[in-house]
Amino acid sequence: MDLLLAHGAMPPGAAWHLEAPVQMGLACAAAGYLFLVLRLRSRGGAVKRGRAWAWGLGLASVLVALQTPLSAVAEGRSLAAHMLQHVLLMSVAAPLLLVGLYPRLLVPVTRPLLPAMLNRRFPSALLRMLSEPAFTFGVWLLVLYLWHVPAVYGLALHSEPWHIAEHLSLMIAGTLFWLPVIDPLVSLKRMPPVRRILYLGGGQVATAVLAAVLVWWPDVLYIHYERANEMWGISPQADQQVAGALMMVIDMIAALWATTWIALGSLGRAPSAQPQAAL
Amino acid sequence: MDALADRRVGLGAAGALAAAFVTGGVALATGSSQWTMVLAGALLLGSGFAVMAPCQLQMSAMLTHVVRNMAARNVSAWGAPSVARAAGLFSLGYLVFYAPVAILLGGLALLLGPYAWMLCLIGGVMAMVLGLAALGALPRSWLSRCRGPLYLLRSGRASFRRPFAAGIAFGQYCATCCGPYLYALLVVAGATGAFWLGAGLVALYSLTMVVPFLLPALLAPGRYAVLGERVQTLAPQVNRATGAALIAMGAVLFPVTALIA
Repeated sequence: MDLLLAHGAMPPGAAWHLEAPVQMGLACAAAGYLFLVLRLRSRGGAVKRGRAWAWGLGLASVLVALQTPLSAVAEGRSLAAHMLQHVLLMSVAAPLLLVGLYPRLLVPVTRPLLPAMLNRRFPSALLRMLSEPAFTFGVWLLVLYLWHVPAVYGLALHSEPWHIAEHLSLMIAGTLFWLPVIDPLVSLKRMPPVRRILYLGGGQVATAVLAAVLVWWPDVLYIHYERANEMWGISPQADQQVAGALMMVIDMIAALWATTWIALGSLGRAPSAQPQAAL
Repeated sequence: MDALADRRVGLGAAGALAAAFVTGGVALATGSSQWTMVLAGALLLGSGFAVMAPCQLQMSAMLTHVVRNMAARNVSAWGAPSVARAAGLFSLGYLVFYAPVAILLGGLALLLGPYAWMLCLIGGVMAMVLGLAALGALPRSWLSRCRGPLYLLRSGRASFRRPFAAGIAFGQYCATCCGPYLYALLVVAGATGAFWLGAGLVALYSLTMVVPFLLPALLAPGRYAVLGERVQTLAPQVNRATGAALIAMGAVLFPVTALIA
């Protein structure tokens, strides 16, 4: 069923997109984090307030992307709104959630799980693969480009299960991309700061190609939005250009922010200090 | 260690140069106007990170430097809220500076019309010469009149007692390096007949520069003060990165010029 028709009867400004599974997931994530924080505090550990804020902002980004009128506008009328949804999941929520985690907080999860996983062949291989920047970059690149092929994009817009799969895979791919940059658990294959900045630069080049296609392609690429009603007098072509610019700018802000913190974080870490996340 | 780092920078710049020429060559060979504009745009947007990251680090390094100096002079009012306020006003000055720059560059592109590409070419040559000089491949005296962040600090133009004016001064410094890049962005955007797109991209450029610098200053100003003592050790790497970025930018502007000419 066409989601445009499904949402068409409602003015987009009033269409809050409330879905119980998403809200349950967000509530569980918040409660789980609170449990870990209280546990750490009860054992005399230092709770990092900035990291907790990052976790909260990450969850808020998911909420804004999936549960507000932005979602209805994104599905029905504007590619730029849909792109904003995607970058909120991939480039805002994913890094913020990873920044929210740090080794001492995660001890109750990692202590029982990690040794058992490292002693087994398949989970150990999986962990090593997830620590491999070439793998995380490759998955991110594949997912990003695959969902922006017009036919595949159209499939997600016209089928709810495919749409859920799209958002879920973009979120997972975004998390994988940021994993070696932020490295909340101190991975098996830790990248030095310069390599992490180059990794971010590689991501920017990949994003730039897609953004340039959206900004400079002379035709409307996604037929769905050509048929949708113009919003605020913005033509589908201009909407596509705004989508490309939004994608590039938000990704670039995230990458530059991470670069600053990688560089300054590597300076701020005393040589004798325990290895920890750079951000 | 330095020789190894320099070799890596040289290899990176050579790689960027080769990639830019290969991409430009492919675009010209295909002869498709659709893909030509997309490739020119992709080259420019893709090199944006290399252009902006060293500038961004210089802005952050300057803030830590200023905070350290203020702490050394024992300025009692210079606490975390002051860092956040100064960073906010600095960012505002930087953004205000770029509004007329966008209009000026856009006007220049419109005025030159079909010959706008010539300034892209000159900008590319200038960027490469500046980059080579910054890497020490040309006589150091070539850059003796180049006024970097240290000049801004020493001359008092970037005093954080007047953060708004400091933001404007830093914007001027950035515009000399990034000017050719921004101009090319405007010309490529203008080639699609959308002047608003070019002006918008320049405005977004200045916003993109400011937000990653401003956010940590607002959310964790104390961190800047802690890092102040060590930030000077980063200066040689940032200088080398700036040189490499300028060469890469020059390398990108040549095929972009060929694509839009």
